[in-house]
Amino acid sequence: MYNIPIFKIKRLGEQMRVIRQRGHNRIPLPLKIILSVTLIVGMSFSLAWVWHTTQQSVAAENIQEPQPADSPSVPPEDEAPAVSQVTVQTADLPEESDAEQSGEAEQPEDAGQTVFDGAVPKSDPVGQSYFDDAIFIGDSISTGIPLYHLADNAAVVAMTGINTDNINYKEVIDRISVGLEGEGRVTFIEAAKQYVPRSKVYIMLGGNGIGFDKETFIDGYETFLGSVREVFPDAIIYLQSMTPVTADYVNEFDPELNNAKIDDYNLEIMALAKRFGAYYLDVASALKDETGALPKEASPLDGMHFSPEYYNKWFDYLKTHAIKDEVKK
Amino acid sequence: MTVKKLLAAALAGMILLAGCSSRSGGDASNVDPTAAADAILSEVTFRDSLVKAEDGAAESYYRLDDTIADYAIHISGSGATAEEVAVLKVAEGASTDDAKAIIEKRVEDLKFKFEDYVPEEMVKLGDPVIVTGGDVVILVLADDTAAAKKAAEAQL
Repeated sequence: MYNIPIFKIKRLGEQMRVIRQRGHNRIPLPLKIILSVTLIVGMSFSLAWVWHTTQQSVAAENIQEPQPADSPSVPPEDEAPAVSQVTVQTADLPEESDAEQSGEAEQPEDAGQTVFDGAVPKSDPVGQSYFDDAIFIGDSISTGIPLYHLADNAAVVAMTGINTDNINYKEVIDRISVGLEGEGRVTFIEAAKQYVPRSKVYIMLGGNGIGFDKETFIDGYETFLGSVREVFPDAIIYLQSMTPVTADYVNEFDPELNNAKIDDYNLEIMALAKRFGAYYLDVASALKDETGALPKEASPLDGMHFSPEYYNKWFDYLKTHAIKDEVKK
Repeated sequence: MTVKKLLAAALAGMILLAGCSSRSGGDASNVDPTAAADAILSEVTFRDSLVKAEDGAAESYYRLDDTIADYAIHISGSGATAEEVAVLKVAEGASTDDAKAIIEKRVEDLKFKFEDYVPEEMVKLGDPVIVTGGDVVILVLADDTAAAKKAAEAQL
C-alpha cells in the first residue's frame, strides 16, 4: 500500500473544497433550476423503465414454463387413445425448417416448446456426445454403425436378418459380445439389459418383416417395444423409420417390396410410437432422392443396404432431430 | 577317402535342398498384414465394397486378443454379403493355432448370420479359404474360391 503524508491529504481536501466553492459560485440560479428539473424527470423515466422490464420478465417466465412430456409408460389399452399428441421440447429450432417436405410436425410459435403430431421435427444439431448414453437396436442396417464408427460412444445391439417377430424370442446375440460369461447366444432384450441404464434407445426394425401382414408386423414390434420399456423405463425411445429401397428393387430383387409399401408400414410405426409415448424419426426422408427412392448409386449391390455416405446422411439426420435430454429428466 | 567325399556331397545336397524348400514357401515371417490384404483385394473379385475394419470394430468382430500382434481385416461394407479378407499375424510366443481358432469362430458367426438371411452366401462359408504360413493366418471369403486361395497363398 502507498504511504501518503497526512498533511498532503489535508492540502488536497482544501484544494477540492476551493474547487467546489468556485464551481458553486459560478452556476447561475436559472441553470440550477433547469438542471434539477432534468435530473428529476430523468430519474422518473428510469424507474418507470425498470418496473416495465421486470413485469415483462415475470410474464415471459409464466408463458415458457416447460410442460412435462407425455408419460413414457405404456397406458392400459382401454385408456389409451388411438393417436396421442406428444408434447416435447426439442433442441432450438433453426430459422428454416423443411418440415413440410419431410412430413414433420408443424412448429409452434412458442420458443422452446414443440408440440407435434408426427415425426420429430428438425432442431439445431446436437453433438456426438448426445450418443454417450444411447443404445442402438436393429437389423443388418444397424450392424454398419460400428463398422463406420458412427457412434463409438454408444452401445449397438444388432443382427442381420432380425425382424419384428423373431426379435422377441430368437437367441442371436453372442453372449461374449455383450460381456456375458459362457458360450452361446441370448435374445436382444437379454443383450440390451447389459447396457442398463441408457437414456436414449434408438430402434430400427422392419426391413426383414415387411413381408408380414400389418397386424403381425405391428404386434411383434409392439411386444418388443414393451420389453424395451421395461428394461429402460426412463429412456427416450426413438422408433426410426425403415429405410427406402432403390426404384429397381421391386424388379430386381423382390416383387413384393417397394417404397410405397415401406412408406405405408412406416406410418404404422409412427402411430405405434405415438401410442407408446415414443418418438418417431423419419430417417427415410434423409435417404430418399426426389422420386422417393434410395438412389441407385447408394446401393448398387442389393438395392437395400447402402454405402458409408448414406450412413453419414442417416446420422446427420439423427443429430438434427433430437429431443433434449432434460425433457425426460 | 571316397566315403568322406560321398558324405560331404550328401550333406551339401541336403543343405541345398533345405534352402530350396525354405525359399519355395517364401519368408512368411516377414508378411505385412496390410500389404497382404491389399494385394488379395486387388487380385480377387468381390461383389461388395469391402471396408477396412479399424481397431475397435475389428477387435469386436473377431474378438482379437493378445495372441494377435498385427492384423488387417476387411469386411462387407453393406452387410449384404459374407465376403471378407482377414490377415492375422500372431504375437511372439503365440501359435498360429490361436489365430486359426479366431478365424474359425468368425466363420461360424457369419454362418449363423447368413444361413437364413442370404443362404447363397453359405457356399463360400462352407468352403472358406484359410491359409497358414509362418506366423500368419489368412482368411478369404469370395465367390471365386480358387482365385481366393491362389491370392492368399501368394502372400506366404
